[in-house]
Amino acid sequence: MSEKMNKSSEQMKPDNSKRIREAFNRMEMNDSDMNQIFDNIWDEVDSHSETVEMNMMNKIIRVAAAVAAVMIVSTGTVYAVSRILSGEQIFRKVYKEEVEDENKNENYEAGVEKIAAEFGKKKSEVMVQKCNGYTVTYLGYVSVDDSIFENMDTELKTGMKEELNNGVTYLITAIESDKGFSSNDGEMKESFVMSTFIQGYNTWEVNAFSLGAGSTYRVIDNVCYTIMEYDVDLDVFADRKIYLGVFDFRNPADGFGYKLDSNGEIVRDESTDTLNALFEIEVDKSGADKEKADAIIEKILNDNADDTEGKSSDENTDDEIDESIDDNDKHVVTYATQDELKELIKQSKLIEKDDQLKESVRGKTVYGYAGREHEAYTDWLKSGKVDYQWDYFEEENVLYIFEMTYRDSNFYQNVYEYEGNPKELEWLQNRLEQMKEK
Amino acid sequence: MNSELLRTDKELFRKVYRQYAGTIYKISFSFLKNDEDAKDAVQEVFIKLLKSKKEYESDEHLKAWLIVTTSNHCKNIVTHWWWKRKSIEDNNVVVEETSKDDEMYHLVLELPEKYKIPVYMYYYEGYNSREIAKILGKPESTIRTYLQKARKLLKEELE
Repeated sequence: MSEKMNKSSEQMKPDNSKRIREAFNRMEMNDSDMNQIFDNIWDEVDSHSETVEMNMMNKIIRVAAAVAAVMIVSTGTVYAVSRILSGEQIFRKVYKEEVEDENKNENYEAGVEKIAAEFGKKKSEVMVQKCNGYTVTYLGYVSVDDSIFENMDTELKTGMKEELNNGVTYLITAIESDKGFSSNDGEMKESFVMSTFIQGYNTWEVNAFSLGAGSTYRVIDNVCYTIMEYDVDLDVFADRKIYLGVFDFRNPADGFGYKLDSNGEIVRDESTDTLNALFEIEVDKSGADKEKADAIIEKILNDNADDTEGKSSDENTDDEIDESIDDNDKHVVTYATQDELKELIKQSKLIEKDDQLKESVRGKTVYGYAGREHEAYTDWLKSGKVDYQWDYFEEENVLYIFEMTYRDSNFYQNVYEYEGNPKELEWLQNRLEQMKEK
Repeated sequence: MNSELLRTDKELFRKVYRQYAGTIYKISFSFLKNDEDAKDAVQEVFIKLLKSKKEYESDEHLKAWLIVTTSNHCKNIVTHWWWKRKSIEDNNVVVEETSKDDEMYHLVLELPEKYKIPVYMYYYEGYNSREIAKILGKPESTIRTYLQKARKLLKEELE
């Protein structure tokens, strides 16, 4: 790797490049800590030779425990479904206790009571699912106007509220483990999270986190109850399918153990061996608001869309930056438009169809490389869009191969390959000329 | 190499750990901005490695997997509401602790999350943009854009 570093360094401004490297050099772990962490990890392996259980508590859980204020863990044995409290009971009990006394007032109490009563009407929504040693019970959801907590700075409000300001939704689940929940000084080893997912969007992209949701937990009689609060009225998404995933936050699988299939449906990753329950939840259809829903999703996707369709021609004029990035890539010709790519597809060879893509070497080795188990194409390709895998480089006597992936309106993806000299393509020739003029 | 082998051969795992723990720590620190959380991340990532059922074709493949996994792990943390709240609470402490450090160090820590891995891989590890694109599973154009923007940000702040 040092050879590579030297190669790149030759073409960068030495001062700043060196300073960046020095900045990372300062982020160093001392030997004592390094050895201690090794021992911790190996102790784990040693004591769980078959299945590595993560019994060391990470910061996330500690923070969660702190936020949740009180986490009551009892070491029970077998428990029955009938022991599960209702959404109404849980909301009233947990939510009320979450808020510090100084934050409480009459309006707040009234709001809690109103929402708890709404949960009381949700018995028909209750669903139960068994998954990898866990039983998850969905206890329903309640959407309310966010004015219900007007002037209340509750502990559970998240930082996204000001940006979204689209109502509030609460969902409640109860999780039971076949083995019972393990505990260590009052903290759970498990780290459960629930998240809604929206039909047509990757679970890693549109989820509870990106929607600005917050959650709180309470373990009562060995049942882990989770209340999730969204600063958005989920009913606005009622024109499409809404899913609720309940999973272990530490699941190493990408997408939290869920996938977007070729029809835009969210499905469980069957290869996941830990909790990844998935419900399709019913919301109030009358609350559907396509415009608002699209705006919320657009806001979430916007950043990513900017990246994947990266058009930075203005920045390309910065000679210094260009030079620093232009390591061994020759001259970068820049980006094609969607129309140009669609036209190119007509002259290209279809090399992989949707179904093949998932199991293909291309999907698993090239993009599955480095731990990205899910199909890379679905990461960044949106319906109706074409994208390509390789940029165009101006270089003499080189065969140009472009791979283009097109996702049609049915969410099918197909990969095409174009071989030839791009200078034969008028639009690309023009682009080259423009680049030279710059 | 695979995780099963690592789970049963302590010396092999020690070698892998010594080889890559520093890399994982640096990436984690750049995201999480403090020693304790970065160390937690190192533990978590190596446990994920041991728990995974992957086959690694080469040392480079393993390293790439660790880099991506660390990046994903840290991104999961910093985008979570727990973290956002914690960051606000800890903000003053972090600033104070690093106030004597040089400007570039601060700037790297404050880079937008999505630029950090490309910047680390390019400037510290010496990968080129094509290799980074391959490892991160993103279009090469995206990686170049990230690097350009990161570079521009750093340059602007330094001027």
